[in-house]
Amino acid sequence: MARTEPADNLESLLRATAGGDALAFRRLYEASSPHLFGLLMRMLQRRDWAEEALQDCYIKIWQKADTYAPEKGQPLTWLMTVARYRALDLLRVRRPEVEMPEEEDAPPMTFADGAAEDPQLRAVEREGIRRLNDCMTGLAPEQRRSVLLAYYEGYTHQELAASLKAPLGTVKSWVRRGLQRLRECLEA
Amino acid sequence: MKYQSPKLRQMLAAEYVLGTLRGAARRRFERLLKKDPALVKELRYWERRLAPLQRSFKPVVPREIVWAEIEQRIQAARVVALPVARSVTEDRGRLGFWRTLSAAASLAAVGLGYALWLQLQQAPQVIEQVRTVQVIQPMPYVAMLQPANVPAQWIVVVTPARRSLKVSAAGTYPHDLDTQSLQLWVLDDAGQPHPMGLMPEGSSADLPLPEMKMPQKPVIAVSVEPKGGSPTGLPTGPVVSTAPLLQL
Repeated sequence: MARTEPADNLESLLRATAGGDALAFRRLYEASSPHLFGLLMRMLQRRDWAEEALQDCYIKIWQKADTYAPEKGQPLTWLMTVARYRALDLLRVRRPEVEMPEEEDAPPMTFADGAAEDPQLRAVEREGIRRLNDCMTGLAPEQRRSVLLAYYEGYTHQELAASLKAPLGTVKSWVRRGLQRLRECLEA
Repeated sequence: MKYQSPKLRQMLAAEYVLGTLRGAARRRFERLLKKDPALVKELRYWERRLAPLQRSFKPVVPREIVWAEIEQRIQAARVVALPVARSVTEDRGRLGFWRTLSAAASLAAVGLGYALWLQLQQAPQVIEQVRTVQVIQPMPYVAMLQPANVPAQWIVVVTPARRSLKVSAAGTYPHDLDTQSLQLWVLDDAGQPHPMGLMPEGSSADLPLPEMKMPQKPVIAVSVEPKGGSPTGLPTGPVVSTAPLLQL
């Protein structure tokens, strides 16, 4: 996936935005909004919801740009985290029933595609991707599938149970054990 | 729930980031985060470790109108969020950028408000009444409030000489009538909001005028508040519309 702005640049745009520089904010929006909007479209599945959520995200970013700190991840990671939490909040209110994604629209069951060829990726990030990739591969297939569906679709335990055609308790333990194993592997 | 168990804390943070922690449990976890730095560390751990998954979302360029609405909402929020006292030199950069947009939006709203006010006033009037008004009454102030994307409008007419504040509503702003009220505010020249009563649930209402000097450049705003109005005397909910209150 191509990034329109290198991370260093996003960081300085975020800093300028925190200082109230509206032009920097506009540039930050131009550089990052397609990434946030892609995530919101994927998770919310409706353009009108995604557009409204995108507005909410950038209002928050304008107001809270000063709370960004490197410990919260790369700038784009932080921005996308803002969007993901917003999407989860909206899904909680607005999706009473499970809507299954179309087959060609299915969630990416692999990840970090193209990461190896991206020259702008920092070594430490590349290492994080490799690590997560390895550890994901080590999960049992149903654990991996549960974790990825929850991440990409914003599915609740109930929605996972319906989607994976398994009892609720079973699905809950797939998620829990999946996360536990992931952590053990990442720590190792 | 025993939030002290390290295993449970790790799992709550993980499920929060993954998104499977929902509803009341999610809200409770957010409250805990505010006073528990160790839990924040757990949260950051998972946010960073799962971040590579974000790279699979395919970028989609949003429509231009989304940016326009972001600008408009920031402008509306800025008017109300100003601190009580503010030096003239502060905030210049931030203000300058929104000023042109703000001026254009305000002019449009005032123009429309004025036209509507004229329409309201003209139909029932006879000539004697117009003369009376012109001789002994200072002209009223008028503003039109129009939330973005919602078919609701309010016209506010303030006549300080008669201690009168009238609100007419067209359409309805969607909110929960059982638990929420729409509250009207006037912002003084320092940007400080003063409560002005609740918006009518019907088509019009007379509200009490607050005991305060009319600001040089009054601005009015509407916010969504708990039923019965803000408990703090300041806006607590989202501001849905702002407009300058101009003397005719």
